Amino acid sequence: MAVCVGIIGKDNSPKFFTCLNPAEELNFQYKVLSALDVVEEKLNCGSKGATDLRELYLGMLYTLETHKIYGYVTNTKIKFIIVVDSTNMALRDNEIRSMFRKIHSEYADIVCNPFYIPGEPICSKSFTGSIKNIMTGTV
Amino acid sequence: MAQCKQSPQEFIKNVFTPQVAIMCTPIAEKSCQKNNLDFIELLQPFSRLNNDVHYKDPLGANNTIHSLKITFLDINWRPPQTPLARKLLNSSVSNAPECRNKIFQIGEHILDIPSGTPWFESWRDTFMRVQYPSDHEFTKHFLACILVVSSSDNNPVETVEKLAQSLNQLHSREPGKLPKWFSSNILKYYVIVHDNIEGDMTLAVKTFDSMKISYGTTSCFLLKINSRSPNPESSEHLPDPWSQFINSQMDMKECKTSVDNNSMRTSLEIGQEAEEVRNVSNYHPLSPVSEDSTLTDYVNDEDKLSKIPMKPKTHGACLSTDDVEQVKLLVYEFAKSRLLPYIEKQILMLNDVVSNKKGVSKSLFSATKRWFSPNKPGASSVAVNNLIYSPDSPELQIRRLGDLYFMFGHYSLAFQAYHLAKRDYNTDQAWLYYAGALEMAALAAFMANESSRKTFDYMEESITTYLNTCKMPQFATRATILSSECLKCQAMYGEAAHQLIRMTSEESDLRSALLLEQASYCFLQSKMARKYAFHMVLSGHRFAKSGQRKHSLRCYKQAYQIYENTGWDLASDHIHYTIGRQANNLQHFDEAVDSFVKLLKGESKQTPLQQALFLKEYLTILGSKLKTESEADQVQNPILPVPELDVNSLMLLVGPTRPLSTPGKVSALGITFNSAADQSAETKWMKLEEMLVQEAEGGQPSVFKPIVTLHTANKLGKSKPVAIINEPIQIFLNLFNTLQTLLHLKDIYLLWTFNTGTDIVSNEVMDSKKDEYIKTYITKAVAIEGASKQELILSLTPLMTGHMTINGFCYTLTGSNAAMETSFIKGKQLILVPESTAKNVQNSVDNENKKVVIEVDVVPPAPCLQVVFSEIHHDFLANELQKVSVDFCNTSSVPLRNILMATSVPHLLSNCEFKCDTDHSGTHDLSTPAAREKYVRKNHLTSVPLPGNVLEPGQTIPIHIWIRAPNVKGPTSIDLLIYYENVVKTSIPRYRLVRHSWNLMVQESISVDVSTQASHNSKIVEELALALKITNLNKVQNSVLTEVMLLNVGLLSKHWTLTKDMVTPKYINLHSQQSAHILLKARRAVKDQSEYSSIPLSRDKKSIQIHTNAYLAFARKAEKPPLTMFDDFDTFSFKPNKDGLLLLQWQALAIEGNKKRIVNGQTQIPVEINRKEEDVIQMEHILSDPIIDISDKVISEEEAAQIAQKQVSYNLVYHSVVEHNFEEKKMCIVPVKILLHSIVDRNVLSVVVNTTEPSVKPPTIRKSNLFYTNASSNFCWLGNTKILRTLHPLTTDTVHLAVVVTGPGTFDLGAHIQVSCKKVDQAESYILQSCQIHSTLIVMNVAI
Repeated sequence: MAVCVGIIGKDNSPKFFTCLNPAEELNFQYKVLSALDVVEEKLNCGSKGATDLRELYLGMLYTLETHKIYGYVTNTKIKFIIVVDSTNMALRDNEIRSMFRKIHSEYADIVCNPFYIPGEPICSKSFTGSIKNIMTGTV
Repeated sequence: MAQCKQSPQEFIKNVFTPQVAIMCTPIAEKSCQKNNLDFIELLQPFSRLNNDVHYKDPLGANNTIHSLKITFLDINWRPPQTPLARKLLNSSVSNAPECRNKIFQIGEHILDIPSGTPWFESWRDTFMRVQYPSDHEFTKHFLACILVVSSSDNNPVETVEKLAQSLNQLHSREPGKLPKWFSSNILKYYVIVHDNIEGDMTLAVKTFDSMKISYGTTSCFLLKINSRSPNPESSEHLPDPWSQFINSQMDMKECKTSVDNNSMRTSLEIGQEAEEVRNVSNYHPLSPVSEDSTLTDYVNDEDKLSKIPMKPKTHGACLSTDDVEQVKLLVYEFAKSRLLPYIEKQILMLNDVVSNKKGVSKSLFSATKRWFSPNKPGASSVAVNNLIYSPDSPELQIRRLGDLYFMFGHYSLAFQAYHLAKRDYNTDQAWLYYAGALEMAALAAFMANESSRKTFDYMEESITTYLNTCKMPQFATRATILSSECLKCQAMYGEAAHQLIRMTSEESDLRSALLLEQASYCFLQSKMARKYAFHMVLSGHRFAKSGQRKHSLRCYKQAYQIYENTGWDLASDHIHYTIGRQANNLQHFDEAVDSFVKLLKGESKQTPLQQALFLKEYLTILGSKLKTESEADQVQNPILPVPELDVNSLMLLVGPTRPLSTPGKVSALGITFNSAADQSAETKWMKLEEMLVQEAEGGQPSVFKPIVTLHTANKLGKSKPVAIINEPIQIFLNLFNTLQTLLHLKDIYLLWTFNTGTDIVSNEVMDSKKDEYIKTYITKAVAIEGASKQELILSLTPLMTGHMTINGFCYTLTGSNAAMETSFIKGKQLILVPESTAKNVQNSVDNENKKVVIEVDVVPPAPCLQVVFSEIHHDFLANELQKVSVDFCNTSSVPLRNILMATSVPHLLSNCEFKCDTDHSGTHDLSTPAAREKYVRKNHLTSVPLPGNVLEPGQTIPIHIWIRAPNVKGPTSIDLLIYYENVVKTSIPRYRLVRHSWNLMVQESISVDVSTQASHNSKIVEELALALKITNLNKVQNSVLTEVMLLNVGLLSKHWTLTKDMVTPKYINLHSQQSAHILLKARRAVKDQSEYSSIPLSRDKKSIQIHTNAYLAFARKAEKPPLTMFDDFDTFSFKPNKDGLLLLQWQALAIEGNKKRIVNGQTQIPVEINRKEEDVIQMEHILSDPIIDISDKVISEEEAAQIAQKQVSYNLVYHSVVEHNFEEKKMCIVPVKILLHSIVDRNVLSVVVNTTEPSVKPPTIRKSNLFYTNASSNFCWLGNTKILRTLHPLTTDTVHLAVVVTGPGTFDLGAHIQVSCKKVDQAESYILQSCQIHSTLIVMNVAI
């Protein structure tokens, strides 16, 4: 079960942000913001090494005392960040990966929505709902 | 990007300069003081040599040093004590000059950043200066000493000796104390200062000569100065090279004097490194302990300093150009002839020592140590720094050599020496020495342009060793500063930033802040804008903690340039909040208020609590801002950000005030702010207005422009509202509180500027006079809940004519709901409506932001009609009638005339009480649209009679009108628009309007079914039987119970009149769902106009009589074509009702709960005579032909035939039973009267009555076989068989016939009569009329 999901746009501005406990949002924003550095680093390295372009999952970005942060970057440089509680042992790499894939498909859906202007923050209720479901693992 | 003034190489060179001590006698010092300089200051501008100097290295190569810089220091100079050092560092940052900003573009961000960081440079320089010389390095040790005596001294030669003695004393003291010397063999240089004006030249020369003899020619110098008298005028033209140096020194001195002297006692540094370590760990200059307190001291000091104006001192007033040249010469001579040879010697000596040492193997101890101990700093951090080399140990000699090489610019050799030294120190685990050597090695490599990955690693290791193993952060900081410069020079920004960030610690906020700032610039250089912004915020935070508010504010502002509009809301909120607070602390109130405004505006993710805090702080800051402004006499209400004003929903209403309500009376509803919402209603009113204007003007105005009193926001941009003096102007505002906290607004009123033509008045400034112009109403208090809207109506009453501008509205804002809250601010918001002129529709995008204030013209008094209605119950029963009294009162000071009323529902409103409708003509030519329009206008409008056609001021006219509920259930509204004119035609406005509408709720009353049948028993004229079924539709479960009593039934018809011969019960009372059947008879009575005939159904005649007028008026309205302006004239077709209108008047008792109400009503039913026989065949015929062709408008032939067959009806009048004695007389003659009724109302008919022979009649279909159609021979018509008559429309004619019966029996008379007709003057065949009557004649034989 993830505690926070963030979707960051091309220009590194947040498009969507949700966390289980809204009171801690500032804290999580800070963590996600700092995770972007790691994402950037990984991306820069990746371009040099010309690794498999189809692999969007970046793996664990970094760990904190309380949380683990995972990243995923689409080909259009949209970053998905998942923050997981460190004590949560149930989630393995594969689960995280599938979570990212689900988020990616949800994101693709919202981008397909003609009423969504790409680049705007996402404020769709149904999207929030499905992301929450992915977070809590009820999907 | 912030560039340093110096290149990294220059910077490093300046950090490591040869240090020369100066000993000066007081008298020599005094002669220098004439120039406001001491001896060191005198030398300072010239300490950098303009000429190149040379020396030989051990290999014999000649080395050239460009612009060697020598640092002269007093021999008693000590690095400042920790509190002082801290102050110095702080002031160096805060006093640093501002830097001009420049534009830097990164990605899509365009940043406005300072072009340099002078505060950092000045801090860096100060930091380098306040460092204690340490024993592990020699760059800060004095290389030489200059002994200065004056020629005015009692015995200069002796004095020189004394000085030399004291120098030796200083040197021979314990080695740990300051000052520290590079080597035991101190280079001495002797200078005699000679005052050219006061001193004795011969004595000076004598002394100089004797000194030359005793110390050598090159070691002595005669400095002749002060050859000029201090003459202020003459000093002007000489440049003052000292000032720039003196200023930087000044604060240091000032501070020094302020520091108590007891700290000076300990200035003799006894301890060695261990002592220093203690110093560092306990009270490092930048340690956060008590930093804040010293800071406040410092700030106070600063204030004091700034308050005492610095005396403009001129330096070198007594120095002529020659004297300056002398000083320059002194420095040059010293460097060239004394210092460099000395250095050469030293290098040679040290080189020998080092090369000798190389051969000698290490002591056994150190060799074994090398094998058995881990060779990494930090691995054995317990045993650190315990190794202290003696000052002249060979290991230190290498370092000394390296330092000399380094200071005198031979970097590659220096690197070799350092490298060598480093290895030794590492072996000996002398970590401090090791770190120092590494640091210098890296720097030397950099300076020699040989830096590589490896040398940067040296630096890295040096820093970590200083930091972790030696716990000497100040050296680590120095290394970091130097290293970051090198790295930046090599464009290794990431590494530089990394090193800088590592040095940020809790120890010193100032240092952390500066280093973070530098790091963020590094990130900027490597195009990492987000990291730059993030570290800028961190830096700003540390600046704030260290009390550098100015810099903190700057950092946050720089960071905001990146964070702006990125969507990291919480982050930008933090930045806004901090900028606000810092700007407030710095008294930049405008900025503070601006950033708080940004914080409060718009949607926010902050918690309500946080927002309340923001609001409170905002108000406090605004309050202090206003306080300072009021001190400066700039009383201007601030523009407040909350609540948000929705300009698009703004409305402005000009119009008279509504009168105070009196019980039982209702004033006209007029125009309210709600009426703008209903667009369809608005067009209806406009149409009514157009009609009224047309009626009043007589002709058709070319362009009709309705009078607008309610202006919406987008209309305000186009047209200028006109207000009438003494009548209020109301503005409707929609305020939206986007915060989640409660907002309290107090004393809200509009701000205006009034232009009377001669002067301009505004209520923005407090002025007692303003109430003469405009009365401003103040709304006391409004509270807006969090995230909700509040509607607000503010009003003004102009008391003079002129031109008024409504600028905005003013209110007092109070944050949060705490009762104790005292922070309230009076502020305003501007009301600006979007300007939209017809011209620039096409470029409306550009004009989106163009906004204008609301302007209102105030015109002289106009008549004002107040209309008051009597209060009526709004629950109506269908067809209910109510009388309403209307009072017209002229409340203005001007007479008015020509009151007209218009309604959109003419059939529901009657003016019968004050006007009898003379137009009974009944015929309306509706063929042309113009005529129709005129008719319709008549239908809608009515004028109110006025005495003399003028209503004087104060006069009241009462009238009564009737209103009627429509026949259908549901809500309905009856509108009334009242028009009146100014007596003076040209005045503005020409006419005015009052609106009213009744919104009725209609409920069911009764339903009436009428079925009619032609009577066969008419005696004289044609008669009609009417069967009424009246049902009370009220249902038991309805909330209102009605009990209907039928009062009267009437008929309004041109052709019929009710016959009175009817038996009626006393009363007919109908409860819910009860019905009554009434049979009525009407007789043909042809009149020019429809007339009213009635039969009372109740004995109580009184109640009917009262309302007869109204009943009739409505009936007459119903009779006319119900054409209104809302119908489509062209497609309208009206069939006047031929047979009249049946009116049923009733009275109902409506019981709703405990309330009882007596209601009068009238139900109107058009009468339609059904002449069709209820024939089986016809029924069948209809059933067999179910498809009706709707499109066929032409009456089908069959129908035409049917109509033709129904032009005449007839009945027979005779004695139905005749007794006859056939015995007596064989023949019985029965007279039969046949009544022919023409039922066409247009044509004169000629009718033929044909009494045919029974045998001739064709056999018709029988209904039964009970009798024969073929008459018996007993029956025969008497007289001629064909009778021709002419029938006028709707008349009755009688034909007398006789029947001869020869035997008793029952005879059907009708069977033997055929009536045919045709139009009189037309040649068409007679048409047989289909009226079938079966009149039986019974003849009985009566035997006597």
